[in-house]
Amino acid sequence: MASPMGLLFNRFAFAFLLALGLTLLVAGRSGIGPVEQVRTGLLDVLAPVLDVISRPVSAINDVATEIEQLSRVYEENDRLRQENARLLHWQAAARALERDNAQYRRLLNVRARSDVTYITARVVGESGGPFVKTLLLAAGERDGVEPDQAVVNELGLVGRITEAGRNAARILLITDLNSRIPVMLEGSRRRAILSGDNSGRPLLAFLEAEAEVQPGDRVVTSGHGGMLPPGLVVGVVASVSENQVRLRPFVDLARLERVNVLRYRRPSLVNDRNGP
Amino acid sequence: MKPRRRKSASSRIGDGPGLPQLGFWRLGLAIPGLVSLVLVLLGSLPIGVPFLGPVLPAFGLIAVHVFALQRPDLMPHWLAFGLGLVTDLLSGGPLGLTALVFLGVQALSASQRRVLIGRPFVLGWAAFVAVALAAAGVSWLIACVYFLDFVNPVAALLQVAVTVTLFPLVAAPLLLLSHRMTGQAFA
Repeated sequence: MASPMGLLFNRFAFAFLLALGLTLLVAGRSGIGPVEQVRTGLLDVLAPVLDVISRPVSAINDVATEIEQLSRVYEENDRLRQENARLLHWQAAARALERDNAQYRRLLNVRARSDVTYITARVVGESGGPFVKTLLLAAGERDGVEPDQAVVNELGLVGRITEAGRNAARILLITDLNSRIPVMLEGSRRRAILSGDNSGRPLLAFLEAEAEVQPGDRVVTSGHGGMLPPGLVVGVVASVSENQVRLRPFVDLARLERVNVLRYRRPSLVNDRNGP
Repeated sequence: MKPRRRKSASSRIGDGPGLPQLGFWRLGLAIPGLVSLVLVLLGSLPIGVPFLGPVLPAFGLIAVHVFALQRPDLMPHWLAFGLGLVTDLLSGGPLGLTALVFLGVQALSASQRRVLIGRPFVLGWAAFVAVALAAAGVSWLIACVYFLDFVNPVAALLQVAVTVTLFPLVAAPLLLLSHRMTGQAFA
């Protein structure tokens, strides 16, 4: 049997930890104290551990994907051949447009868009919890990753960096409750805010009332606010009802292994070279 | 020669049968904590299985429940709290949320020892359903207050369903481990 002293200590420990937990929640919510710094520091410690133990899982995933692809290789080949023929037409059109564009830019003396470079990194962890949608990345400030940078893959926008430690960073997915991304409908150029609600279909909020929107309309980043580069593809309108418009992201956010972090130089009103 | 009256000093460890106070066995005392930590880490790996995509099973919750029930001396309050903190750090969620929930689960499960120990596995499974639902309910309430918003509870319920379904697979080896440790202690 536990001694009375042991029981007393137990109760004290429980009460202390309860108070500590509540304090952490309040401090984290209100940004009091070094909660964020401690969190980012510990992320740096935990991320390499996850990096190591996620490698076998990643290898198994790769094998499973390969087996899945092998089973429908003929069908896929046929589809790709048709797609290739279609894309060759587009390539010819794109080259012609590129030439015209370059000529018009020269004529009008248009300043080229800010440079965007990529950092490719491995996803080593995901939140897995029901209330947050985040991913852990095995790249940090050492590799050039900084908070607020956009994260994409070959299909479209994934999210943005919210925390960056030295060796690791956290991505807030576009589906997270706290994610707000300025977007626009690609066709009509109507603006909206892509607002996550932890479901797989984020909402298009603040869409102008007179905007005509239909399922299947493509949505891209608008670049407003200067945080994210404009024109990144996000997804298509999935459903339109009286109260809400929902989007289906192009990216399968549940199956991400490698992503690109965009190093984007925000446009500035001050001329960097000749500024004061 | 003076007879050795003290069988072992291990009776100080909780109310269960103790482990001999040898360095080797002391290392063994850390096994539940280490196993639980590994399960917490496994619970945040990008598994990439489509139907598990939105939420991953809360392996850490299973570990805290099973060890608190079987060997509360090896799953003390601070350990459950620490495992919850690690979970929060990995998930990027409100720091302290899972720590508080694991602390509550540890206290709740340890208090049900007399009711559940020695009962059929199915009853233990049913008890875990109640524990997991209570944990999800408390988490959801804290999340709503923290975010000052109505957080969709569907994902939390989905996580309960996934965790409860996988409970036998994860709990069986943990039960074996805790029984084995208890058996060694008896020896």
